[in-house]
Amino acid sequence: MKRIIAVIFCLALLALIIGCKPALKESLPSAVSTDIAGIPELTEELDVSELDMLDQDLTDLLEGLEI
Amino acid sequence: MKRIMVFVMAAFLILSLAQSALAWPNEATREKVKLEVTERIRAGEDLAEKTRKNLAENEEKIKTIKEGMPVTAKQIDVNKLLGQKALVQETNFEKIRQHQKEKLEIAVQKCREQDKNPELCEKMFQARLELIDKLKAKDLKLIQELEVKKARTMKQIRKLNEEEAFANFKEEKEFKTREVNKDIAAQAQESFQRAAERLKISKDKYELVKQKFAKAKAELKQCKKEECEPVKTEIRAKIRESLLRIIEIMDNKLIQLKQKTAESETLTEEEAAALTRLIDEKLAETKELALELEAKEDVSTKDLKNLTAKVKEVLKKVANTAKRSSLKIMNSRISGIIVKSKHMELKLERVLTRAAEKGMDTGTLKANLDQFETLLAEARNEHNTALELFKEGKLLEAQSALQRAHQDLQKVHVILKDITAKLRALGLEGELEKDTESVIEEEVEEEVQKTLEEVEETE
Repeated sequence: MKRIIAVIFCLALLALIIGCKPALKESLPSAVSTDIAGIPELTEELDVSELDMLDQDLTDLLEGLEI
Repeated sequence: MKRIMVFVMAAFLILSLAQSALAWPNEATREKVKLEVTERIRAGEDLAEKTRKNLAENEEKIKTIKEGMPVTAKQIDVNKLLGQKALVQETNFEKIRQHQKEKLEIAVQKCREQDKNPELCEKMFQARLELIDKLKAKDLKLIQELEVKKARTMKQIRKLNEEEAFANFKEEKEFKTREVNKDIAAQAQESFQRAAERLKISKDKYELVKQKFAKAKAELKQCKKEECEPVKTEIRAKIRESLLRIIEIMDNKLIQLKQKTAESETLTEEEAAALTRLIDEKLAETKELALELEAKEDVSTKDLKNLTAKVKEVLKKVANTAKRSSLKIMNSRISGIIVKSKHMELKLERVLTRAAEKGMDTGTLKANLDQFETLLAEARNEHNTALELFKEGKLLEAQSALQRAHQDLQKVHVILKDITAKLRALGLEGELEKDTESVIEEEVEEEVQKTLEEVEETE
């Protein structure tokens, strides 16, 4: 019984690998598409504009110290 | 229990096999191909006699090539081929046909030279030689246009390879400037996320302090002399806390940029090391400042003014470093995309040439390719502008130029999706994969083009 289960399992695994193989290979057009589509996310991650706003805040804080 | 396991396994097997089976062409596709082949055979009947004659000529030529010495790039007989300039103006389609055939003959020779199976080499290109013999004027015209276009793209790629911003993106390295270890990349992503969470907490806390600071300021305006002192103490405390939060925000932003640098596969090792060093320097400054502030719990107005001025000064430096790092990472990413897209363009031109050789109706694909080329050139121009502005230290302007480059690339993306959908509909998507035939063809085209340009330069 155990042998049968092992054989079925191996066959299923093999079939899954064969079935998935074409999907694993990324073609050049999809690589270009992925790269371009990934720019907005990267732009967001690299956004440092809030640091400029902090500068204005610090000016306000300095003004607040004129007490 | 065992029965359940067997049942689960069997279901798993059936599902997997079904998934594999889906990858096979269905009946409708096979029928479509059959129909297409039948039509081609019919269309070729009237040319059969002519083809047989040409075939005999081709066989004779291949025989001569077989017996000849191996050909190298320098030995390619450019006189046999038309120059690109001549090809643009050529109206005699027989010459274009000849041009294509001779290029394929060189490919056969090259294939043999590389110790590939001689029979396979001939078989590989023979079918295409036969197809070229049957081509009609409109297909030859398209091939002519594509040949000129390919020559231009190859020249542009070679030029890109000589430019500092693009030289490190090689096709053989999958257009990566360096290989980042998977574990390191995963760690960097994790650290980035942790910094993002801390950043959010710092920002939320900072917003709260700002509100309390504003409230205390309003109270100060309304208080009477003797009531004002506790309000002033509150204001000082809130300013101190604000400064600590601002430092935290700077810190986490710098950590995020450091992690993005670490995982970037479009920066070179040297660029990544230089950026990391720069970010570390700024992190050391913010740390020092935080320690100084934390040590002074009850801080005087004078000390607070000094500390605020210091934070302002450090913030200026941090903001500059952050912008430079951010732009550098984004610039390199876009450089990589431009090089990759340029290679993509050449690949698409080759696929279209093959389709034209088969006499296929490629519809608006050529127009799409022209659009692709134009938009990519615009993206490249904006990217170049960004690089120039970056070197001049005009970071904001550089950022705007980079955004425009990104917008152009987004349009490129839309066209590329359209092109791939059309290729899929024509059953040509598989042609984009690299096989022995395309590798040899690419080598031959590169060599021929290089030789033609060298001849052009010496003239």
